[in-house]
Amino acid sequence: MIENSSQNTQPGHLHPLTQVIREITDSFVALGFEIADGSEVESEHYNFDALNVPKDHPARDMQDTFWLQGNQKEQLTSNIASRTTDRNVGTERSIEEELEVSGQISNVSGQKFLLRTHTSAVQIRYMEANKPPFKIVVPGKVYRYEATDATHETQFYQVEGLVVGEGITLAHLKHTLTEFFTRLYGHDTKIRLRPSYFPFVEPGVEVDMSCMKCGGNGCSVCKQTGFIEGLGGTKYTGFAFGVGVDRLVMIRYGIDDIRLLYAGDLRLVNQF
Amino acid sequence: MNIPISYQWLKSHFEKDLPAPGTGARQANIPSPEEVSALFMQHLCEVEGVEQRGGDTIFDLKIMPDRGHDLLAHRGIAREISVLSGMPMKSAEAKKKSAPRDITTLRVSVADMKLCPRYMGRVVENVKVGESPAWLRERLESVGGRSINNIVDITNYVMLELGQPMHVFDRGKLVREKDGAVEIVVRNAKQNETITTLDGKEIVLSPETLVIADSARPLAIAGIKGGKDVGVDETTTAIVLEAANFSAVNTRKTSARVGIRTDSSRRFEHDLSPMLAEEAMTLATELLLEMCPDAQMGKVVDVYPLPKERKEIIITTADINGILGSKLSDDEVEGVLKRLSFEYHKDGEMFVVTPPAIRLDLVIVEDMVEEIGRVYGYDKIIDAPLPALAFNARPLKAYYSANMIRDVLVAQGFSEVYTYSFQNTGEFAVVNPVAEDKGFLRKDLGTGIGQALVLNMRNAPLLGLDEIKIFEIGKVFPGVMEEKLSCAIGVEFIKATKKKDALVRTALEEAQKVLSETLGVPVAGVFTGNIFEFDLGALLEKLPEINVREEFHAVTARYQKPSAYPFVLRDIALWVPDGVTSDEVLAVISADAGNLLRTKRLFDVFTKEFPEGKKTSYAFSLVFQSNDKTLSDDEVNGIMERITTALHAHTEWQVR
Repeated sequence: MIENSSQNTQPGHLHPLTQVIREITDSFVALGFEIADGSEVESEHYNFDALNVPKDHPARDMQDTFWLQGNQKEQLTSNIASRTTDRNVGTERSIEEELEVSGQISNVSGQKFLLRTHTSAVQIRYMEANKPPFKIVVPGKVYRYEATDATHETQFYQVEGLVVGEGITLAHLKHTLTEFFTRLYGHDTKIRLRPSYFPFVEPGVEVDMSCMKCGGNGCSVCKQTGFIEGLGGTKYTGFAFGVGVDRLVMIRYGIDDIRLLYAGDLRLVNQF
Repeated sequence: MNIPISYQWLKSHFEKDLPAPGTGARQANIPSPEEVSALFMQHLCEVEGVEQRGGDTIFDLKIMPDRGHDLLAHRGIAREISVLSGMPMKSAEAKKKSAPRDITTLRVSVADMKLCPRYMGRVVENVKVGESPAWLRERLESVGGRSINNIVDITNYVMLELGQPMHVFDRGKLVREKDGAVEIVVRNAKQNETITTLDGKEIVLSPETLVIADSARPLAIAGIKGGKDVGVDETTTAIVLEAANFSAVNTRKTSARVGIRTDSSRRFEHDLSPMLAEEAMTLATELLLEMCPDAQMGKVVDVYPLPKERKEIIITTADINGILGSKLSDDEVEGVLKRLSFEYHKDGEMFVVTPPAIRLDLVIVEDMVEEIGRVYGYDKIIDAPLPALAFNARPLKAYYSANMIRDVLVAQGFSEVYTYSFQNTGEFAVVNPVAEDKGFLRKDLGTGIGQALVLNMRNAPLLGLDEIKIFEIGKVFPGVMEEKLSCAIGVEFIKATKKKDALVRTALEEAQKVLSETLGVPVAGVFTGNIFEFDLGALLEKLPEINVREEFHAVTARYQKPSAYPFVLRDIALWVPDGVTSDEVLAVISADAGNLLRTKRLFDVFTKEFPEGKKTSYAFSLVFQSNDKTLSDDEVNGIMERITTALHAHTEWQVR
């Protein structure tokens, strides 16, 4: 029940997505990670090709994509200029240089643009502009072309991370994620790595963490498995991981429909 | 891709009863469905569902794209059970073979071996089309298939068993050449050639589409769908069996172009080993002979000009431990390779491994490390803290500044909303919108904020608010290939007064002023009615670098779902003797209002001298709502009467 007085100076409310994104991000910052960000409009090259997701490959089905209209050269220029002013992306490049780097110079008008389906392009750009070692965390909005229902949205939030350095192994990923989930959910959190597929990391693993509601015994939130999903993977000298924020928010607060998060409705927001 | 897998079907790959190692006691042949699920989750893939159906258990397995080569089939999954549980698979029984007869000649020509690396065909005569035996019907139906007739069922069974799609044509419906032979041509379609598919759809083909044709016309869209007029029916007495390998990329492109996706095309899209075609032809032939013992088998025609070579992968135990952070010994690595039944030999430190032909996913060292790691078990890898890296994290201005703005606005009474990036108007269009009214990326945040103001105004009494104050921070797309960070603030007052517009403007200007003061730079933006929007991206550039701020902690709360039914608003005002607080009155109201009272709010207070003394007037607005139904006037009146009675129980209180 809401009680209110007639004075209106009391504070408003931060959206639960913001709250959880900040908590996750700050938690990684406390572990020594740097925050990186990037644009939501991305090239096919950075969203897929640079991540080894081949064209015309079933791996693209996992990330059904919104494609954007308009791929004239002059339009490209303005976008890339604005994107390269981002400090994490490094020095500004001309469009030709940009496309040269990405191997697209001969095919300027053929380059296609889309709404990013993950934030991994930010990691790729970071790696191009920065020498290892580094630890970064990338919170951001992503898009998937799919029918919406209580558990699926066309827009949602992810936090991804990337650690690159000498001798970084899957054992370090396990430790980092255990530490992270423990910070967020307390000392009894256990994680489980499960084989999965991410085109640019091997081994690709998904991370299940023990459910904070039932402590791993199985409940309605974790669908009786005792574990909740995140995802991650490791490569030669580093590892990457990702967490879907919307799902964490829904589980944490008992929100049963993802669409409510984007409805602009204070009946939800003002409860937090 | 998700596939249904039958536990009983898997079981058929193992001996019925095996002596348990060492004891000689009989035991069940494979782990229980629960144990299988657990093994898969730990070592293989996500088990998205486990369903009891009849006497069987059906798993819904999410197969990752890199394992589509071998795991979209029961045999592949059974092999995993064997690897993970150590239980050996049944060795293939020696089946009855039939010497090829000298029957109708089949000639096959393949125009482009890139599009069709292998094509195997065989004519079979004297077949009898009829119902499939019960075991075959059950198998197909257990995983959601439908029995059609024995011949078609065999090809579907082979696909579900081995992962290799097959096709079958009615030889009687194919063109016979002058010498009586049947000619199969694998070629690109001619412009405007058409085909009517088995499900009756007429498709106009273009030259990019690979077809299987006889000398007159296309018989099938290669790897995707067969043509109707050459399909097997009850009158069929002779057939051509096809087991071929088609290019994954071309199959995917064609399937998208003609708008047909089938169990066959999905498998070819995952790139199959040409080896599988051979195994499929053998299995289909065996099954045909079982069901039609009098069938006469023609020679297998096999067009496979460039057999795929298997490549070696050389790994060391150090490679594996270096990537996994594990402490495996050479013996343990060798143990895993043996469980996998991979061909390998040791050369000093090196394991020279030749993965099975079907495992097209195993190409580089990292692939092998992942394979060995998952079988060994990631759970056995012991956590290790990250080594100290020579890295100093820099604070990201955009992140901390945006959060600072959020906190300032929240302190000013604004609540944060998230709205949709897709709208029905805008400048930057989406090629494939999910709905007609979501064809554009938002050009500003104001539009969404305006809609949110309207929505929240309707619920203001329920929210207990006199004014709606909201904001959003997010990306906007004001032109083609343009993207910038924006912040919009909206204010609306519930009470419609003459001064409302001026009050709204004042509230927005106040927020602008506080932001400018906090950030130390003027915040310039656009006022449109009840919304103020500014270019946050441009503002960030003017802000100084910022330090890491205190770690944020999300609130602990349990969300209550808003009711779907309308709420009812009632006001109540009363006189009480001076000194009675509003809380005392509210306590009485709450005690008698019942659980349908959602919001109670004091909206007016004043005092007045009366002959009998000073009195205070309190006016409350009460909101009632049910989670289960629309409340009637009578119900709410009843509650209000109870409240009034309870208030009047205090003799000096007087409801006005």
